Amino acid sequence: MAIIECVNIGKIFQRNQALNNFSAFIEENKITGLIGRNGAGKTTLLKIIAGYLKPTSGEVKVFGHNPFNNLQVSANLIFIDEHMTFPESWHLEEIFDSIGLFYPNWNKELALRLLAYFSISPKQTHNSLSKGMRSTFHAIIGLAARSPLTIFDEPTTGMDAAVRKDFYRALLKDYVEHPRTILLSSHLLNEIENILEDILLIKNGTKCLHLPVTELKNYALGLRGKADALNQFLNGKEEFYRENFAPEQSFVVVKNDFSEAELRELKKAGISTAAVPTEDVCVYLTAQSKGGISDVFNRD
Amino acid sequence: MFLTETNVLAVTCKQYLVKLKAVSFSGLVILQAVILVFWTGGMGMYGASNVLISLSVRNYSSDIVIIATMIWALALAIMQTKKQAKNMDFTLVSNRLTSCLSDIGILATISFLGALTSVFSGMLQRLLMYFALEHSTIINSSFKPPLAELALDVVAVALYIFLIAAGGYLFGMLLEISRLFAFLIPALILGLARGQNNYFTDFLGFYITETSLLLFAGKVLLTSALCFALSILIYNRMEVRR
Amino acid sequence: MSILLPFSIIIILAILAFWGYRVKSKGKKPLLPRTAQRSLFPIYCLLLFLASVVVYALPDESFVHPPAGNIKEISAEIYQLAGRIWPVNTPNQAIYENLSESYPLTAKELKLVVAGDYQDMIWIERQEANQGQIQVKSYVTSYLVEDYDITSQIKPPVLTWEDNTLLIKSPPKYTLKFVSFKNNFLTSQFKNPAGSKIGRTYFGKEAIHLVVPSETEVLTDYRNIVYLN
Repeated sequence: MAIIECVNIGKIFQRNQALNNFSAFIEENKITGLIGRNGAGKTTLLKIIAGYLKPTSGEVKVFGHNPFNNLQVSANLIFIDEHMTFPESWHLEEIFDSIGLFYPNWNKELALRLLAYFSISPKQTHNSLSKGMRSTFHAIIGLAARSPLTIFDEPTTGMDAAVRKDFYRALLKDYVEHPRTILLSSHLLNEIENILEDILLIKNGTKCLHLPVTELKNYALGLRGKADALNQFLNGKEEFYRENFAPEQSFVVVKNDFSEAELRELKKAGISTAAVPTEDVCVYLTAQSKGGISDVFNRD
Repeated sequence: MFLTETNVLAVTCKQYLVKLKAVSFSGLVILQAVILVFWTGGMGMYGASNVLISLSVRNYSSDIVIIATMIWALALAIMQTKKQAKNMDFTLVSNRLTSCLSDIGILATISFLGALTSVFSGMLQRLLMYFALEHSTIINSSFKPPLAELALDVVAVALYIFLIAAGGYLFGMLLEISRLFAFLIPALILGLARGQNNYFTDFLGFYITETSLLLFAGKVLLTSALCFALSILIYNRMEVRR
Repeated sequence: MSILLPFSIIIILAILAFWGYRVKSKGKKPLLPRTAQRSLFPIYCLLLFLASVVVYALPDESFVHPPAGNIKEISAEIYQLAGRIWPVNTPNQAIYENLSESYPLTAKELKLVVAGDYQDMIWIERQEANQGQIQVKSYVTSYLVEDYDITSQIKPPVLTWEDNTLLIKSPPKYTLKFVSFKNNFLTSQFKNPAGSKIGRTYFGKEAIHLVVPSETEVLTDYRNIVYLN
């Protein structure tokens, strides 16, 4: 059952088109990763889902209702980002108590234990936290609130690698115990791909790909060999990325829909094949130009 | 298909509690205390003299403290509409209606507490004067006003502060639509106040010439309800946490 | 302008207090410790409450100072007398005696010298019983400030007796300052206008009552003298 339905939504800020004809359906009790480059429209999409922003066109439904200004939707979701605002003079523990007022599934004990684990004192005030600690604190809120729909918008900004790892493990553990719908946006896929079930790739405000992570792993194939030889096999194939390094040598990433026979022929033609890491697939898929950054330097 | 059900009243009450705990009255206390301690000149004086004696009477009242409290409440009402304050609501469960309703509750509370403290600051002033001056220089006639009069003062001042806060809240909301209002509204008020017509004095007179507290309360509550309704209408269409 | 200035100061003060707080709260270190900040308002409220209780408990007598020691109400006789002589004497106005002296008179003549700014009436009364001495009394009708009787603070004239000469001098110029608490102007619209009316403020009158032996001749240049008999 789709808990979030986006149909052809568009969002225009002044002159900037942040979302364009975006459609997606996100199912209940799944962890979905929202992946995209900077400015692809991730945050805008999440804020529309949370009901903070109003789409310029199209229709959004969360729990079957338009989320904009909807109290019931708001009561069933929590939106975690680095801009969460709390009274400046409050202790973290007081903030926890106020969250408990609003979220019936709130587990303060868990939150305090996590806080202790990350060595943050509950007697600190919110604005005395460093950037990484603040992100950690917000992430703890997202975990312990156990809201039916939990949205993390770039939750790991500023966290160090160890904390990030711990956070994702904690998220997965808690998710297994208390399944809920989790939307996680990030531009770093490799860190989160182990906990994700689905991946939603967004590019220039439109949906690029929406797949289970397992399928994404075999989605693309990297071919390396002589350019001439390569081109024979690429007829009609969707080419995600091409890099010409040594003379006559190319590396091409294409959609992996080769048959067994074709793969054998590739080998015969002296072309080596390699699986492409999901991280790279996403980078290639969301790239603005086929050649990547090296194109900028290859003027001729 | 919601997993958690809630209603406007419940969320409004919770938001009110959270906001009430977050509102700082320290600024108000410091403001009133500073005026009490340093505003020793009173509200004015008059005198008379003959060949031998020159006699002067200095008048004291809580008006200055009340006016300062009104400005404090106005600033606070405007601040309630600012992005930061609103983000605080939308960090947790909220919609535009509950956010505004809890603000109204907060403004009503600060109106009452502001009125209470500013009116009773007069008592502290009397006490300070009593011990600071020779008793003989204090004219006893109004030193101990009847308690009923103090109660009336508190109610009337609370209504005035609430009216001002409601106006400030609407002004803040308009500011959120466009910064132009920051310039337009004061210009409009000044224009009406300085112009040939009497709209502004008529408008003020609508409140300040009302002698019945009950009717005054009706006028104030009606006007503030209008301000708040407009604010909610504006806010309902507004995006948050941009 | 004079009314605008204090108001603009107040407005600036209020805004500063508010913004000061905002700016402070954005920084890492608050102006006041957290607990102090939380308890400031309740403490202030408690202080106001206690102040009110104390104000209402203050004794009313403490406002009259000095407590009626040096003035006393005069006899009905004099009151009637004064009523006859002082032309615009309101019927219920109190008359006090704030000075009473007697001096031995050794001559047939009494020289009366008035100096300084003294301009008030001098009543001279001859009495048989009063041989060999003169009696000087200073009377004053009540001075009111907003209906509050301040007569006790009025200084009597200064008398000097030397060589059968009575010198009457006004006291040096002096200032009386009072503090009056008023109803709040902002809420005066709801109050009975009669109730909040400011009381009467006026100056009283003064006179010297001089009792001399019946045979004595009074020598003086002073014009404002009434011989009672």
